[in-house]
Amino acid sequence: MNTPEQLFSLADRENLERVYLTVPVDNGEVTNPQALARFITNAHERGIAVWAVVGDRRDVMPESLPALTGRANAYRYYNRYFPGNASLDGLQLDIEPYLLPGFTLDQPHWRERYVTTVAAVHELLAGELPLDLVMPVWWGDHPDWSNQLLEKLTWPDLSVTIMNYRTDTDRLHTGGLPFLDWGEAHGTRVHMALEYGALADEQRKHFFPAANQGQLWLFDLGEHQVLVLLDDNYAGLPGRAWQLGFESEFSASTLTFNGNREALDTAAEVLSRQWSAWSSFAGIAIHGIDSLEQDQVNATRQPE
Amino acid sequence: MHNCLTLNLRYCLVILLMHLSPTTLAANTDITTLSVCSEELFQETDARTLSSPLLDNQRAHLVVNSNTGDCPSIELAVSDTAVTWGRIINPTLAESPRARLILQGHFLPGAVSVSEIINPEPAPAPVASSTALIPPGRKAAFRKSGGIPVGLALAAGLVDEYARTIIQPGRSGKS
Repeated sequence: MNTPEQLFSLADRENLERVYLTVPVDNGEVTNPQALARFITNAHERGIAVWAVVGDRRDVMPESLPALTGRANAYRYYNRYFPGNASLDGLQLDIEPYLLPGFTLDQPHWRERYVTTVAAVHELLAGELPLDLVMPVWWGDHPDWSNQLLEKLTWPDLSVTIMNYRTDTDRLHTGGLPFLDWGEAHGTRVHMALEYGALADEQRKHFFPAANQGQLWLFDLGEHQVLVLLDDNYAGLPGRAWQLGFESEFSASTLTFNGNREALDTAAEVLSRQWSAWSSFAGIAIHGIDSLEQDQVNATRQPE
Repeated sequence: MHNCLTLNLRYCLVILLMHLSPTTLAANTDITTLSVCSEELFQETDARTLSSPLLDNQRAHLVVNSNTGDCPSIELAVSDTAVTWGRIINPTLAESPRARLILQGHFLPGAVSVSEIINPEPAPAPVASSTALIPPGRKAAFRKSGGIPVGLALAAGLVDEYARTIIQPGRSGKS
């Protein structure tokens, strides 16, 4: 999707009320602010809110914070110069610290880094721009996240968007509940995001403990433990062995609707009805819906 | 072979056959060194780095055949090409003797990529694969029904309107 017209066309066709966009920042200022102002004004006239989205997994690193707050500041300043109909409607932080190498080694540490990071941005925005946080659904019931995270995020002008990337409606429903409960208790709005884009299938190799030979080995290395996959079974290595038991396929169809419009619509309808019982439920977001636009472009393209 | 010629031939044949017999284990006479180096000790060499996790905001490197002697190391009786993937893990991941480990990813010859390590016992691991696989989103959108978010539209009893908006084939964008 390369032009505002394409986006507006999609928004009209899909009855969208909000879009999240990357808004480039250069030297502490929004790039080409006049064009952005025209775009946002046009969007608002069509009833579409425009939120800037920023975020990188490394944003939770202390040394990355100045760059992140610099970008947030740029959006604040933009709104001061372009008040009213040309203003951004909010800022969404799409930080995914679980993609950092080493994340699983100390999740409480990264949770605290996450809270510190989003708190700094929230404080900086000071209510001038509402803040939305993107979170994975598994944070809802993980012992290192869930309440330990959510109870620290009871701020005003804050909402969350849960990447509830499943396709089974029961799992989707259940996955959203911890956030909806928390949102209701604290007056925080919760958006549920479903995945519509393409994801690759993956393979799963299941390993079982073995006496002294295997393909997967766990070694003690100083204060660390190291898991190593070898190309074959080996015996007598100085560690603990696991043997390959069986292999299976992990289908991405459990995570994404992948262009299956009928299934997406059915799930959205069912889930909206269920989640509407919570006052915190703010609506459903679709990740990858812009692929619809590309589908249509491809369908209407003349043969060369 | 020299010994076979000078000793009993039948004995030597037996020995040779034993060496050539099929086995489920890969045979190796090579030695490969695995090391975990802190950022301070790590030296950029031709050694292969398996992973470089962040530990308390500090980079650590799991390296095959590093020539840096100060890093904690272990020697394995395998060739270096036998090591296809490695990662520093949380010790709790495999602490149970009953623990089963699942590696999820792509296992192509010479290109193993593991997106998730799952340990289903003794406690189920969180299913993080969906989020781990998805690149940071840059666009998303809400549906609306007459300007009301979908959920609220349904709560207000506008199910029929919602159904028309969402289900009607002509609005699907694919018709």
